[in-house]
Amino acid sequence: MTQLRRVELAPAWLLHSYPYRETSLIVEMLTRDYGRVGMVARGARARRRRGDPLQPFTPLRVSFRQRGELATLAAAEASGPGRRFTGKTFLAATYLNELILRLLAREDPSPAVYRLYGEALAALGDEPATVVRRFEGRLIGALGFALPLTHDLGGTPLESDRCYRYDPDHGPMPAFDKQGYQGSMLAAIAAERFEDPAVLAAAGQIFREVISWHLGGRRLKTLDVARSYFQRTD
Amino acid sequence: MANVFPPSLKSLVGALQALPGVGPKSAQRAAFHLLERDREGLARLADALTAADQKLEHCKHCRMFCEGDECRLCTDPNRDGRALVVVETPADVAAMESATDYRGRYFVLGGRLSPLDGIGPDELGAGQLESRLAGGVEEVIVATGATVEGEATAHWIAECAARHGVPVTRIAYGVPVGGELEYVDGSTLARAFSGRRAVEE
Ligand SMILES: [Zn+2]
Repeated sequence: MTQLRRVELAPAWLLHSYPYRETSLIVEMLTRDYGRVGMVARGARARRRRGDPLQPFTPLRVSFRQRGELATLAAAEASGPGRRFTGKTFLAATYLNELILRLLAREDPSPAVYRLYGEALAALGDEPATVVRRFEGRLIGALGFALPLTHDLGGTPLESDRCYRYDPDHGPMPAFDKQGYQGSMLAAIAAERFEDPAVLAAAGQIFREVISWHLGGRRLKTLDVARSYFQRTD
Repeated sequence: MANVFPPSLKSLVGALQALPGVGPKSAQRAAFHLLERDREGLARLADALTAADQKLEHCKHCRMFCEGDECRLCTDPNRDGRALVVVETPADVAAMESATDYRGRYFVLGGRLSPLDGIGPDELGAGQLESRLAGGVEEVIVATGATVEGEATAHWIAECAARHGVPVTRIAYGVPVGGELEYVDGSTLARAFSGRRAVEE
């Protein structure tokens, strides 16, 4: 991009920020209309000493200028109250952020991802697992990574009492050793029947595998931190 | 960097860039300033850097910087070991000490929960904090920042303290001294409102 782009008051969420030079921050924003945009927030660390609307999980309106890969944040304001997550809900919310940071390329506008993220944040409560599974499944779909759960890659419908292995590259494949998931289980995942703990657990395994495959096996930091957090608190 | 510089000058300019916000140009300017105008300052800086590197450790009780393995705040018999203020950074300890009349002890986390940066309880000294909580602390005062991560950190500390049966308070947030309501941002005002308290008589 060589032309200067000026954007005023774009709806956005702050996904992550990290120090840049002496007093600035790089902020990773998920905007509704421009996708994920990395922005330099000049002087933001000095401002942070006095209180700053630039917080995650708060709906923002951001104005920015952009010529190269990194934009310059001109102004940011909260457009509504932010959510204050703690404990496992906080860990779940940061996991959603990391999924978007790692799976959605910069400059790939996806109003669907923006909407899914806002819906998930609004729905997150004390027991976040269901919301997280639904977000994983729908994010995979919105990014075009979805694999069939009701039929195999050849289009043959799955049999509900047959067992299938789930390959993140090929989808369901018949398992001859009675290992893997029953066809009815995969159908339940497709229908998001996550109130059943067995469906929730199986969806977790399958989605994680698909996500891990798209990350080339790289680990997610938020999952590592969550693991050590629960080791200490459980 | 210009090849006309002798190796020790090059390495000085290179080393100065370890400072936050200092790039090649300002490192070179600083190096020339010290060499040309302040040789004494250069020697003092060299001594101070060496001493800091050799002597400064983290206190085994509170993770504050100290010389040796215990800091003065932890060994001072006049401070009350039953009260524990938990802060994010050593600078926060200095701020608390200069602004308040608190005379208890501290615990320095060295950051705050930040899962996206790989910072969890282990990185914040959870093990040391637990042993402090098990060792005679009767009140924990959480003084982490009023950010999303500071809040999550406060909640985690409160969970730890609860497991040890230690009561927890959180420092209050609200309208800055000298501030007028109209100019206070919405979330600060909301917090100040929800944390309201009886008017002091
Ligand atoms: Zn100490």
